[in-house]
Amino acid sequence: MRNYQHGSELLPLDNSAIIYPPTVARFNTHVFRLSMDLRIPVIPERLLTALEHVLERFPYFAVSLRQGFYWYYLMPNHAPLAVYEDNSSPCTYIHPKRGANGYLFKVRYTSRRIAVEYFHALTDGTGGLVFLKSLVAEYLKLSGVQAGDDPQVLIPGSMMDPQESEDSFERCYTPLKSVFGFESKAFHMGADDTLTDSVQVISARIKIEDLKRISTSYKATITEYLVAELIDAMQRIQEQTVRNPKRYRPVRVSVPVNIRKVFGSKSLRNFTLFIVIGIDVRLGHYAFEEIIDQVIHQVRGGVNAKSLSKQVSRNVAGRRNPLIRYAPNIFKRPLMKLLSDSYGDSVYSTTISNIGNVELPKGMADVVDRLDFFLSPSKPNKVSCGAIGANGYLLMNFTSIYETKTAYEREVLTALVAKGIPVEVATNRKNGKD
Amino acid sequence: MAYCVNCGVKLESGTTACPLCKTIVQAPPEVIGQPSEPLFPLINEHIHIDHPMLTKNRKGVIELVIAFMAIAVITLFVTAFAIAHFSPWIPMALVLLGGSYLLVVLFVRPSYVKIASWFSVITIALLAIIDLYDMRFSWSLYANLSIALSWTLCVSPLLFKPEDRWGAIVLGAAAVATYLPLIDLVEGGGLGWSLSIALPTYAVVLLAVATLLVRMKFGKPTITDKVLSLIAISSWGVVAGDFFHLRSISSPLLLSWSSSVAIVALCIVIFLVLNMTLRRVRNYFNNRVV
Repeated sequence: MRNYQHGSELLPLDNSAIIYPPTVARFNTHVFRLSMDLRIPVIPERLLTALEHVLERFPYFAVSLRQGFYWYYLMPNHAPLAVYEDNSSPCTYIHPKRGANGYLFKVRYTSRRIAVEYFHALTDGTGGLVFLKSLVAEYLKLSGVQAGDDPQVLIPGSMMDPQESEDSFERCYTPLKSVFGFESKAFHMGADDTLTDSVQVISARIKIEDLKRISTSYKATITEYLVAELIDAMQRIQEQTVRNPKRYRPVRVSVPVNIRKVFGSKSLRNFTLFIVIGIDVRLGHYAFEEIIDQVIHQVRGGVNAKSLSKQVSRNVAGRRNPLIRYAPNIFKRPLMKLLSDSYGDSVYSTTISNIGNVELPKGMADVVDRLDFFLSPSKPNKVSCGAIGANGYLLMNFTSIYETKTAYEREVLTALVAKGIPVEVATNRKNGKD
Repeated sequence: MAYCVNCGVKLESGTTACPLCKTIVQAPPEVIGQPSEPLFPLINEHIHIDHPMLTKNRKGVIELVIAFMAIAVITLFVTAFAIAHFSPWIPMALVLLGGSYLLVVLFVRPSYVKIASWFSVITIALLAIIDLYDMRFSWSLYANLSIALSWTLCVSPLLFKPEDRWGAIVLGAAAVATYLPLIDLVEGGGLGWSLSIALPTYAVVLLAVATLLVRMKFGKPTITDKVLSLIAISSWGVVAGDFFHLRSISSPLLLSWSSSVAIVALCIVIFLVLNMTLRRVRNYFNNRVV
């Protein structure tokens, strides 16, 4: 296994990252964003210095994307770093060459906010969070504030663990035969509104205590409860929009699972698998209790070392197949796009990624007002949801490519309100504010 | 801070309409509150997904054109080597054609209709010029008519509005019905095989396609249904060709070599009809939960 210590050699994309570069599209940027709103002002020059310091500790992030004859790969990037003013919508496309001087992440700021947008080929939510925490900690240090100790804050100059840059999929691979299985198409909301490539956001702020209370009453975790709500809302949307029940399709939600703990990995590159949770609406209407039972059953059945190991084997086996391995990239790219369209986005109706409750070190918690997490939606799945918890609140950020339509977000959030959970909403949409 | 009376959600300070249902907040200004800092700044960074000249779509078509040209030139060289006869003109013409295509891809808006139309025009012009080396048109007439026919069938329907697509189908059918006698007229100096074989066969194919279109009005066919229907249509076309050929030569046989194809086509049609009319057959083959 190659470890990236010196920042001088090329780095192959990890197993789950290979699908991202060929499938980038106007409505599917594969960019996710993590941000922290601070109680102290953000000075761009100081932020840039903090970034320069921190990136030395993350040499596997100081890379650019190149297209090889067989595969895309990462090369060390020594271009000057830059920080960018924040934009009116999150998760905008990062051009591999011109987007951020060739880097695959973009550090953005406002007067009180530090945000990092990552191209998914670089890392996943956990890796992104470690980088953001380390960047903010360094910024606070330069501002004279001690962030405090935290295992997720990597201090510039500290020793790099070789496992941080490993492709853990390769380490956890067990050769298996016949592990491929395909799901049928899921229900997708129609394009009955203008689609826009500037992502529209509905941000819902909910007390974690309230969510814990209600999810415990169903003997579920917060993520399981939210997945059930998303499925229930999608079921209602399908019932409202599809007149003929014979044309109903299953409703499924894709849930990324951080598998580092399961496989004992310290990698800060992608090490996430997607489990697809759903109900088959063709069998009839599901009551909420039935949905949550299904979700609990499917999540707990799917998140265990053996089931996940099967998925890892499937992903790695595809890449190791000599026919795929030695096929030129020019042929692989359209094939991957086709596979992704047919068996990726089309088998689920939406995505929710819950980073969970983020523990901040004492010094950082005092100055951080709010944490946000945004996922880019895609053309088939026009609304996605990123959730993150901090300071006693969970922020559910719905990102959408619908210019005006908010029917799905409304179905989910009003269902929470109807169950007695107060929800506070904000948006970047043009309506709503003077 | 106000609440939306319709959704029940709490609204951010300063919000005058619910972001979820657009209901206007009817509350005194002190309840609505002062506008808070927006979720995102109002700066809208102008984003180019790609360089305007070389967009992802254009790159795709360029790669495709180069790949086809490369395959064609390599095939010609291999053939020339095999038959020990090399004529540089055809590879040169292909390279010229490829170069013209690339110029089209670079300078014309990357839409299917525009690119396909330009490709057709350039190919027709180039083939006509090559054929004119002996100062008369010969083979290029067939080739260019075929290109014009392909354009009529594959590109012109997109010039019609979706509700007027029937017009495109009629135009396509008429184009084929004109093309066949025209070739017969040019080639044989009169209307022979086109009237006795080609047009009746074509009528059978059209009838089969019309049957499929009518069937699609009654429920959505599965992929298997569609594939089988296409096989059946092609088979009936082949059978009809054989049938009308035998009639034109006054053969006593009803069908010759195509009789086995007719049996296969008949089996497919019986299966499709059963599948459409009997729920049990449908569920058995579609493996549906009932």
